[in-house]
Amino acid sequence: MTDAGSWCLIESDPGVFTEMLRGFGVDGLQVEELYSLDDDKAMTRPTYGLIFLFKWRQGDETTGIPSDKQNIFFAHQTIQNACATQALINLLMNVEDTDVKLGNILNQYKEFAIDLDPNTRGHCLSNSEEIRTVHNSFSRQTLFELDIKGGESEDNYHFVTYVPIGNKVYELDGLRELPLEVAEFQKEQDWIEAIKPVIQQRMQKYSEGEITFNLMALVPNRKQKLQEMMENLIQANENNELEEQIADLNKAIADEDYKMEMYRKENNRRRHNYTPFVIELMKILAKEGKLVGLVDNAYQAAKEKSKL
Amino acid sequence: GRSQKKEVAVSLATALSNETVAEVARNHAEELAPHLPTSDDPARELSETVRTPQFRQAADTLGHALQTGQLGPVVAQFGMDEATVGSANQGDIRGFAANLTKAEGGEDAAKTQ
Repeated sequence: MTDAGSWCLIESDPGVFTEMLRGFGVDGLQVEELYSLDDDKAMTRPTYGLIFLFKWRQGDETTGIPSDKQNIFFAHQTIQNACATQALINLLMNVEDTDVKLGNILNQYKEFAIDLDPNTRGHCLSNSEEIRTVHNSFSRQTLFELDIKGGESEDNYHFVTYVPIGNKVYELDGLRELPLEVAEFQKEQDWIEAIKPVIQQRMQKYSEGEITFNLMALVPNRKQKLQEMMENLIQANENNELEEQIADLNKAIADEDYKMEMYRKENNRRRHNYTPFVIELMKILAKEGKLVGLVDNAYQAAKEKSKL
Repeated sequence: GRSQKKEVAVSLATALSNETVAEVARNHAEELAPHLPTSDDPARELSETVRTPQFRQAADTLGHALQTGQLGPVVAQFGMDEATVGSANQGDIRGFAANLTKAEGGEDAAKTQ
């Protein structure tokens, strides 16, 4: 149970972000995991932004130039638990494309906040009941109403986004005062090429410091694009010479459907309280005389581990 | 009161996330189905459950709660007997397993394992 006004801790992977976009009513976008900066399969163009996630630590230096240009929408992060959502929204507010619809919730926020300063924008976001509701719908499972203390400490994850505006690339970090200009590019150039060295340097630094990080891309809705391509191919397929390409597209569309289905399944499981299941399962195992053996095995395994 | 002996931390996910348990689960679909997240294919959901990260995380959290004496009130709500609740209150996971087995009438079955 949460108080009115509180933000839950959520997971922050492409599945959660993609479903969160759906929850906000955004049309035309999805979030993909990047395994490298050359992952062009994941970074379908136009790529609207990059999301960089890492374990935060103090004194993290940056190389960008602070910018207070009015054409950049930037909000401060005001609540720790909201950091993922806040970063995603900061990015979304700067996406301009006729193929992308932000939906009512985010358009309303944008209209309301556009003339405010970054700090007030941040507070508006954290006070938005609609945004908070969507965010909290991805909260990690609560196990009964008890405030059960978990075994591991909560890691302090932080999100930074990179977005092209005009012919510059900006780093949006809700914990900093202002957006940072980090790269420039020519009109015909792909902004990703311009930002690669900056991100590579950052990844290098974190790898050396053994800091875990993760990279995601905000890209067009792949299924929609594939279906458009499909329609064009079908129309052009007068002599059935494009059958193979059409079959390939069908498979790609099926893959996307499968991926989205997996995301839904995962999020469904995340929201579920498994306590009754675990208890009932243990009762059944007890009745079948298996529980003691299983717990004993786990005990032995733990004992072995502690000797290492 | 709490046991003063320093016990190793047992992972309930290790105890429960394996094929033995998956098979038991499949054989008890009727009892377990009501406790699963809703899905289009309940049989499939059940067979996948004990391997999911979400189940493992829940098992480990509950296991940790049990071993730190926090789960007593919860298991009491699930109608477990005094001895079993007592083990939970004491943070004794192996005692909990033994007492639950006794309460569920599984002692004879345990001997044949």
